[in-house]
Amino acid sequence: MPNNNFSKNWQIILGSVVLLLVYTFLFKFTGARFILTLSIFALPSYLMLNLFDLEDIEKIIFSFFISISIISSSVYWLSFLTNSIRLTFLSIVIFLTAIALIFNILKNKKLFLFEEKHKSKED
Amino acid sequence: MKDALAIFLLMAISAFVWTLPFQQNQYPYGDVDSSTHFTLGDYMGQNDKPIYLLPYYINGTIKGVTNGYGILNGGKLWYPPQYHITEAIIQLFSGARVVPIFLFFAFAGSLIAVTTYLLIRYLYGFLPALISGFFLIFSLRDIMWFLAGQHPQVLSFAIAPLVIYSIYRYLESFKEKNPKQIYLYTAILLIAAQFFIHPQAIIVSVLPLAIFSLIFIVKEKIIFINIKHITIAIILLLILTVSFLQFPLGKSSVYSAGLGKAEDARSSYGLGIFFSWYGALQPVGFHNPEYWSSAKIYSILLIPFIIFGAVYLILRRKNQDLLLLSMLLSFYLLMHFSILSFSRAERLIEIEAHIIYPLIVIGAIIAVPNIISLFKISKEIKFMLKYALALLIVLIFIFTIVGNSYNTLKNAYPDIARITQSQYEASEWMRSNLPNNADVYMFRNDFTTALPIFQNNFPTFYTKKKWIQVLSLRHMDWSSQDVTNSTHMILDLSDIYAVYGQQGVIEAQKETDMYMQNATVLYDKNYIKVYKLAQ
Repeated sequence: MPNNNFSKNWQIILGSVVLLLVYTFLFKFTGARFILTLSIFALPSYLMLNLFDLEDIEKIIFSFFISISIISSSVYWLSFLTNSIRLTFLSIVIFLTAIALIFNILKNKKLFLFEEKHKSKED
Repeated sequence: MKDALAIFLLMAISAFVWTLPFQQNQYPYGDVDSSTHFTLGDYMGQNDKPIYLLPYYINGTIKGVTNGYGILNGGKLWYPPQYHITEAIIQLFSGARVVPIFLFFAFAGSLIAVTTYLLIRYLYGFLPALISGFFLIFSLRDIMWFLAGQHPQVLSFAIAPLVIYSIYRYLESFKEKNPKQIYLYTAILLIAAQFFIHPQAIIVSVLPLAIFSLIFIVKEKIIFINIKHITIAIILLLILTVSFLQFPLGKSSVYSAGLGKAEDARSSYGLGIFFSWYGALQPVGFHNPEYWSSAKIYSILLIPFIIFGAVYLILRRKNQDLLLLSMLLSFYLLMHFSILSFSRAERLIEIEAHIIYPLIVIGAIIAVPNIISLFKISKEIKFMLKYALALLIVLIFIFTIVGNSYNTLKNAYPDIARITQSQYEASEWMRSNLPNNADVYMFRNDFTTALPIFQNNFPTFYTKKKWIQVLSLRHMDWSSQDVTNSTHMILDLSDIYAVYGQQGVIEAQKETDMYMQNATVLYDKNYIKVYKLAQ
């Protein structure tokens, strides 16, 4: 399985790098920053989707659209409180990424909410 | 995991193709709604703050008369803000004002290739998905709406294959007696995204699913209702959308008015429309005649494969075939019942290629080899035939469709058809130097509107004026004939100079002298002047 995971990640990383290079080639630093921003925008949704039994391709594609539903909605209303879209976006991304990472770790270690499902499968 | 590489490949090709309009000339362009979708995100990005009520320059009044967008929705945003706040985020973190937002338009608009890839890959495998995705990068109707500036519409339609995919996976999991509710929830999140981005696209997702679900129930004899799943899905949808319903569905909103006006076309056109593929749809509502030409979308050499594909699906009738046929039937219904399309069938025609392009591919590389294999050919020959046909349709597509789509993008808005450097600089100057509540009279006369570039009604002179308004973030009056209502005036003769030279400018200025009494020149550069008007 580790080899399989490596293979999956390797191809996603390669694809992302190619996309980054294309945008950088076409639009220099602005293009690179655009792709990095999009990646950060989609990251929390990707990690949240990673908790579920979904294929990698589904997670990659869904994450952008789901971020529009979740991240953009949250940024809009919360920015009225913080008075800064930039600050709100960063806060939300960091918060949701941290939460998603914690749950991903728990999932990988088969702890907490993921324990029961694991046990029942073993049964 | 070649899927990951495939979708990144599609995105990379899309990046080259869909950014063609601004690879060389990076000044803004687009029809009227383009500047609107730009400015809502741009304004929030420039100020690093969200907006609820429209700013003065969009919603301004002159002597009590509202001539802005606020009239549509009581002064507040008339779209849910998600698409535009995403623009603002992109702008804030990408380090430039215009290019990042246009990159976002292009990236988001071209995603139909990727979303269709996911759907077709699951239904028919890797190769049909890859070719369908490739074809859709060059889908001319999508490209035309993108160029015109209907960016949210193009993105929202691109979500439909994902909703359909998710619900199809959910239904299939029921059939396998192992319901995967995650697909129901992703579908809900995606429908919410459609609502936020462009609500009209929801019908494109829901109608084929309604048709397919009925077929599925009858065929599989499975009632796929799980109260717990549906309750969670409804709660999720409400949590996501309830605070945003006020934007498109509020009192006096443009969507509420639109829904009320939707009529059933049959009463107007009779039963004859049902024997026409596009029903009663007339070629109005989009400026470019190519939009209405099926020959520009489907090469005649590919038409036989559409027929092969459709016949194959009808004869085989597996669930995935019935799903695609449901999408086809749904398109037909949308074209024939304007109450379903909210009287905007001319926009929904965009989705035709989303169904027909995969049908071409299925017809060529699944239907034809299977039909020929009835003659007991070897597996090797069938295999070779499949790839030969794949190569054939790709070559036909490249030689008959790609060139036109490519040139449409590459040649979009040349020279003064878009904002020029002079106009951009003047707009930036006004943004920095005029008060926020300035009312700027934008001088126009028959001479300026008669420029050859504006004679085909696209881009209109109005389009460019609106771009100057949104780039300067200052309220402009270009409709009234009364300059006394304004605090400032802009006289832009730069386009006239570009076409007619100095003599044209001299002629045009003869008409402007009457306005210049007691006016003070604040800005004078490249045949654009900004005046402070005496009150």
